[in-house]
Amino acid sequence: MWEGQLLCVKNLTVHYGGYLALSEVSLEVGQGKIVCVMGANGSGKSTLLNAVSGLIESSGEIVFDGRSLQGVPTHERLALGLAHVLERRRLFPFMTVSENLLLGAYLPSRRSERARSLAWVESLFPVLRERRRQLAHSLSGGEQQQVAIARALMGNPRFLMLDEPFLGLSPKMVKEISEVIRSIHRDGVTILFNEQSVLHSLELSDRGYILESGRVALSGASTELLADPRLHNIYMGLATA
Amino acid sequence: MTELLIQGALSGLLIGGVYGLIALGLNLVFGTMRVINFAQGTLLMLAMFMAYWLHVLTGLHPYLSPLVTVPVLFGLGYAIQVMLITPLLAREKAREPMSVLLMTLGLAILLENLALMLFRADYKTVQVGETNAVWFLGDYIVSVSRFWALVALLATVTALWAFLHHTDLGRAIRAVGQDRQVARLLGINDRVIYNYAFGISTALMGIAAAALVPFYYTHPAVGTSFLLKAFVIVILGGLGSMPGAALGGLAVGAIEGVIGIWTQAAVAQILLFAVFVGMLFFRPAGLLGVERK
Amino acid sequence: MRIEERRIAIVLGLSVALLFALFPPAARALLSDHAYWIQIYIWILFFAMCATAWNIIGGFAGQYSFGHAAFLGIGAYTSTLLYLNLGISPWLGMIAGGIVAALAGAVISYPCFRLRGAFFSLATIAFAEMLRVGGELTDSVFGILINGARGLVIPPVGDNLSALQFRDKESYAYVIYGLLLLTLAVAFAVKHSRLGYYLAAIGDDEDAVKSLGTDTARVKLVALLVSAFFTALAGSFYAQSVLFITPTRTVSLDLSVQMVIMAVLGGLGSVFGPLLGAIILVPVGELTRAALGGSTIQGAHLIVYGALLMLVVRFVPRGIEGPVRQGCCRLVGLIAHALHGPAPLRPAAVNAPIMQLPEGRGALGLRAAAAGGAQPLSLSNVTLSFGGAVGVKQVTIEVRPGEVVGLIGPNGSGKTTIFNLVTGFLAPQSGSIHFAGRSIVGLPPHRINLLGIARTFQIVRPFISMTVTENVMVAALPRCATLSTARTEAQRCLAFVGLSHRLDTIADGLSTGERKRLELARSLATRPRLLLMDEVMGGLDQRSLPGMVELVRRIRLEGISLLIIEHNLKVITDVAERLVMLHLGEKIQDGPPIDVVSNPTVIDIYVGGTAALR
Repeated sequence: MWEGQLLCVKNLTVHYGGYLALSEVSLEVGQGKIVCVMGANGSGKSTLLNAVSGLIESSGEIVFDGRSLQGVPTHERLALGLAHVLERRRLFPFMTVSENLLLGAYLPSRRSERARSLAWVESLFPVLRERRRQLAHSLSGGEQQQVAIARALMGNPRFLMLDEPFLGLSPKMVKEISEVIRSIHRDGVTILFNEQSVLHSLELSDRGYILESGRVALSGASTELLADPRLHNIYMGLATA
Repeated sequence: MTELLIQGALSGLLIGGVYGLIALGLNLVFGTMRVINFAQGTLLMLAMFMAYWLHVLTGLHPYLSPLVTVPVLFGLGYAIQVMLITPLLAREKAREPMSVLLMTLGLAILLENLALMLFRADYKTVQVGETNAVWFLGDYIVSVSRFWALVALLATVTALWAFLHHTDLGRAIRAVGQDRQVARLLGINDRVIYNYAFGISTALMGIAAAALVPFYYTHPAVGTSFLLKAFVIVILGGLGSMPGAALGGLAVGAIEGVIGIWTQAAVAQILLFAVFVGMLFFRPAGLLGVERK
Repeated sequence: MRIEERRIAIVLGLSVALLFALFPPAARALLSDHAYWIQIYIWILFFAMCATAWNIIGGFAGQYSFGHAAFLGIGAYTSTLLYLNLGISPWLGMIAGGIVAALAGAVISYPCFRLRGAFFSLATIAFAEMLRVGGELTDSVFGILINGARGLVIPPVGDNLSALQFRDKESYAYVIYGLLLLTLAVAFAVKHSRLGYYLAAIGDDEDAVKSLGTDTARVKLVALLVSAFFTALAGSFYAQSVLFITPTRTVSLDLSVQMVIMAVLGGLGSVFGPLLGAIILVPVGELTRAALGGSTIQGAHLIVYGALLMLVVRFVPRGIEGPVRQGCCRLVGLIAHALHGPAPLRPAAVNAPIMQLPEGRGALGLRAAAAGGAQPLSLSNVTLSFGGAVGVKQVTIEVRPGEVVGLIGPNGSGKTTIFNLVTGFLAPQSGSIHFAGRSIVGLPPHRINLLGIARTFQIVRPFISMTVTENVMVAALPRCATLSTARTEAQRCLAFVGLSHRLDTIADGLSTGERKRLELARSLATRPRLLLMDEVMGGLDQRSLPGMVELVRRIRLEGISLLIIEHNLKVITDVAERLVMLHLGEKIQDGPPIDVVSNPTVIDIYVGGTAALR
């Protein structure tokens, strides 16, 4: 049942602040695939990613590469190969780009390959070379997004989760980042990302899930979803699958 | 008259070095954990007694005492964080930030009065070569021991800066203070980092003590008076700013020195508190403070 | 508790009080070194009084002052100076001291209460130290001799009631006993008055209290005035019993800290907690002092205090009052059982159905408030930008009386900003906001609430340490004359939202849906004409959704206008008459739900490009 699935989430439920954010959500990400999670705000898509990386508590099963993540503290998950780029970039604001990247390879096992990782991410994002000494909070939104993804890649993850990587970016930047995503995918990284824009997500991914008020409203291969005429009504929660 | 003022400022500047060190310790803990360590001054007092006893029992020169006191204090600070503070931080309730303050206050009271009982209330002093030596800088007198206190501050600030900016652990400490969640995602164990931060903050007191002991009296209550000043400095120089704490320490020392020429030292105290209160209201981020969410 | 238990509790309480009162004469009769024991007794009661007075602002409201000894000093010096210079009896001087202390408290309260948590504490330390050091340096003020650090001596005049001096300790014991009883009575009265409710709620969530119509700054000020007054009384007593005061002996950080420790150990927020703390800590301190080598070491007892403070903070943060109270209740129950037989079984709490709504329109009787020419809410060209990001830009929205308007839009579109603007937590940079015929820009949140606007929060914020009923009472009190009318009002609102079966539950223990309903009950208790609802459906499971929708309908039947932020488009299109859509801070749609939701631009913003698919 887990074969081929790098990440398997079953009946995930999240309560926090007296609020039911996710309710019995199940999701699978196959090895080497790109999967997108779509939904309006409040649908729970960020919560889903946060639960997988352990930032918030959840009940239900989260199985990564055949082992359960329940009880594994967040800071141990990167070592297993799971990386997570948070919504709104979240760089260390008062550290330079270079320092941010170095911290991406903080784990002892990654430190030895730091130089190689740095070379790799700088080839993906050429702008990083020029901005090495700049403080992170002074970068533009697009540049910050690039640094955030680069930082996550410094940890050589097998599985990368991106929370709204395209939020607030110019169309040109969206294209660039989409290209990077495709590129790292070709390099063998499995990707799970969140987005509001349905069309763009489905073009970029192999498989998609639509969340609505904390539950899965629709899921399937991206090509099939694109062809579904009820797609946007289901997305806006005005109809059910 | 100006010469007197400059002399006052000079002497004050030199003890400001010690103020700065204590403020650095407070800052490190607050910047990383958002927690106020009320026991910082008492830990300084412990360090001073350690240096004192080392000198009396083994003849070790106070300036060499950090070799012993710094590791011991680091371990003590680490233990305090693990045993006393972490359990409180783990509780997620509304009035939580105050419990750490109360806990460290309790620790400070316990340690100070324990010291009072064990070491008595007499003022202990250490006499070494540097204690009464002076240098002449043109028309001004510079006390040698105070000079070394200033050097200690500058050296420590530099070393601390290098540590925080050029080592992985140092960067990790800064990272946890800036965004704890992201740090965890990058594999940084924030709990262990907190332990290190508290340990280092306590170890700094070993250096401050080494600088102080040759020219300042050692006494169980010495910590509290330094602590109050250190709070003022931290707020003045800016929460979370290392240079701010260092500069703030020097500034407060100098101001105290200058005012000391005019009136009693106690007046300087009142002025200091008045400035403190003013800063709390108008610029809680301090002069050089950085805005942290 | 049933009537018999209550009577037994009162009898027990009075007996304890009587035992306390009889201690001095009993000691004189039975103990050879009675002077020593009576002195300890006096210290216990003295510290209990200080700690109880401290608790009124410290424990009840969560503002930990570490400078309260300043009020002790003010009280001591005022009564002493009045006596030495004008011959005024310390009984009157005491009251004068209390008033001066209250004034001092009023002066520092405005700046201090703007600070939160540890900063407030640090500021109080700073103020107290300034007073102490200033006192030491000053020899005379306006010609009145203060004597700085050398202090003032009150000449002993033997047994003289009007000069509040006695030869034997017993009389002093009676005086402090009386003063303590007075202070406890006041603390009790405060705790069970509306002030007490407000203070407890402020300790949990001050902003929520403001949005329910209470001027929290004034509430805290009153608490501080009362606290300062009684602390100063204790200070005068102190002066009269030792006949020698200096700035450092009275305005001492040690004393301030001891007050706090006793209150923490005993139980912050309880009336008798500090007394318990004093009963334990003072004798323990004495024992320690005796065991560890006499009175040469000043601070021997402080070692134990420090250790106890640490233990309490770690293991019993709510203090020992809770367990002690439970023990007492059990004792009372046992006695009642022995005297009157077993208690009748209470009917099991019925598992109430999810909805228990009374039928018919206007069940809450709020129609009268809502109708009567209430004018609309109207925002006109409101703009507010945050640094670089735009909050809202030239937004114009109107909500007519009785209307239900939905406010939709992606994250960051400005919806919550609009709520904060309307409720007074933010001020617009340009544009106007009118309600009930007047501009509400610049009014503080509690005034806006009193005008008839209430609000729920997206992440619900109940007062977690209070019961469900108490939560709603905090909202009802500003408009009710007495506590009992507020309680009745609260129960009515709770019945309306279907929480009658949870009246005495601590808010912390409610489920998500129940918390949402509590939030609504609280808002309804403020008799709003306009209710702003922030994501009431958020976080509810499928089963609870229809119930909540029904509740919203019932609220609407009361005649209350509704402005609802909602992500769940299916729900909002059912409930609202009109939808307003915001995007990036601007209003881009305003019309009937069906039109808005099928508008291609709207779809595009929500879904992103699927319009191109068709």
